[in-house]
Amino acid sequence: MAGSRREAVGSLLSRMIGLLKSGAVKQEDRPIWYDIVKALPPKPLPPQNEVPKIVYPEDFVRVHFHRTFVETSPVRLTDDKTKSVSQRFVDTYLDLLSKKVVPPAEIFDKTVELLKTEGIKLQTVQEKQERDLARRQSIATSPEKYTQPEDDFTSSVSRMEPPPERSSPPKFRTPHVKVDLDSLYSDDKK
Amino acid sequence: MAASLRKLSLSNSVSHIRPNVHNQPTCPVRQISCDRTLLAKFSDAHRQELEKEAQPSVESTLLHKDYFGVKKLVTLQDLFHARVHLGHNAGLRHVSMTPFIFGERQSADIINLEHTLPLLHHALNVFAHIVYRGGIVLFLSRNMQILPWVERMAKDVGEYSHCRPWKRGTFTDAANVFGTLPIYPDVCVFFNTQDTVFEVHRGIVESAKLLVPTIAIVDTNCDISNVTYPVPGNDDSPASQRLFIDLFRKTTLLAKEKRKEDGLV
Repeated sequence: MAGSRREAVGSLLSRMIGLLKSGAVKQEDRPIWYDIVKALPPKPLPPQNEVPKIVYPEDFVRVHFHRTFVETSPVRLTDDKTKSVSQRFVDTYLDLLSKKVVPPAEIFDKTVELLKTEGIKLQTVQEKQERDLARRQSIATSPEKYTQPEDDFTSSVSRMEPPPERSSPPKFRTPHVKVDLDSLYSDDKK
Repeated sequence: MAASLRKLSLSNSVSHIRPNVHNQPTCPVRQISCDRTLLAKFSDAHRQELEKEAQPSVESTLLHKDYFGVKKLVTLQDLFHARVHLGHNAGLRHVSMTPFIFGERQSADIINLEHTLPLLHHALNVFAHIVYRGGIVLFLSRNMQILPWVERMAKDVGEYSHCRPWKRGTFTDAANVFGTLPIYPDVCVFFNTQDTVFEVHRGIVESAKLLVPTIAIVDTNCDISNVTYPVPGNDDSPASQRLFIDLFRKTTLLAKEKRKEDGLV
C-alpha cells in the first residue's frame, strides 16, 4: 500500500487522511475500514497515572488472626456453603465491632471466646511450637513408640489375592471370511 | 361556492397536497373536513417517504448506536465470571496499561472491567461494521493452548487465521516472502499480543506500518501503543480466552447475517 511506514508518527487514521489529502490514495480507492474508523474512532485513554493498592478493612483482622493462630483444618475451595475458620473469625469480629458493645481493644479476645463456645478448636502458634518440640524430644528418647505405621498402598497390595491361574489358553477371534492376500498385491485383476 | 368546491375536489389528488393559503374559506365545515383529509393524506405521504428513507443504507448504519446488537452479547457479569479482570504480577506491568488497572491486590494487578466493557463493545461494533462491508478478517494468536480454537473458529465463520510463528516481513516484505503481491486484511484481531514471554507479536507493528487496523486483547504486561483498538483483559486463562473467541465468532456471524439481509452480498 502507498504511504509511509512510520507507524510511530501519527495514528492510523491521521496517516490515511494525509494520504487522501495529498492524492496518493484516491477517494474511491480508500480502504473499507476508513469510513468506519473515522465515524467510530478509538476512545481516549482514561486519566490515571498510578495504580492504587486494594486493601479491605478486614485484612487487618485476618493478618492478626493468622499471626496468632495456626491453620487448623484444610479448606475445600469448591465448597461455597461452609465458611473457613478464619472467615468465621473475621465475620464475628466485624459483627462485634459494628455492635459497639465491647471496647475495641478487647474485641479480639472476645471473638476467640465466642468461637471457642461454638466448638472451634483454635491453636496458637506458640502452642504448636511447644507441642512439636515435646514430640521431637519424646521421639529422641523413646523411638519405639513412634514407629512408622504401615503405608496404605503396601498394606492394600499385600492384602490382595493372587490372580487365579488359567486352566485353558485364551481364545482369539478369527475372521470368518478368508482374504486372499496374494490377489491384493497382484497387478492383473481376475 | 361552486368554484371553491371544484378546487377542493381537484386538490383531492396526492400531487396537490399542499393546501392553498389564498383559498377563501367559503364554507367553514367543508374547509375543516377538507383540511382533515389533506392532513391525513399529507401525513401518510410523509410517513411513506420516511419509511423509504429508513431503509438501511450502508452509510446510515454507522449512525446507528448498536446496529448489530453486539452490546447484548456480553455483560460485566460475564467478564467477571470468565476471570477477565485477573492481570499479571505487578512487577510485569507495562506502563501503557496503567490507566486500565483497577488496583494491585497482593502484588497482582486487577484490570478495571468498567473500562474493559465499553472498549470491548466499541471494538466489537467496529469489527462488525468492517465485516458487514465485506472486509477480510485475520485472527492471530501465538498461544499454543488456543491455537486449535482460533483456527477452527476462523474456518467456521469463513475468515482467516495465523497462529503459527510469524515470519519477519509477512506483511512488510510480502513480495519476497510469498513471491506475489498479497491482499492485506481489513482488520487484524489479536487474541494475544505477546509472541513469546519477552517479545511483542511482530504482526502488530507490521499491520500498523501497512495501515491495517488492529483489535487486540491486551493483558497488563502488553504494550498498547501500536494497537488501534485495545481491549484490556486477561489473555491467559482458558475461560477468558474462550469468551473472547466466542464473542468474535458470534459478532462475525451477526454481521454476515445482516449483510445478507440488507442485500450486500
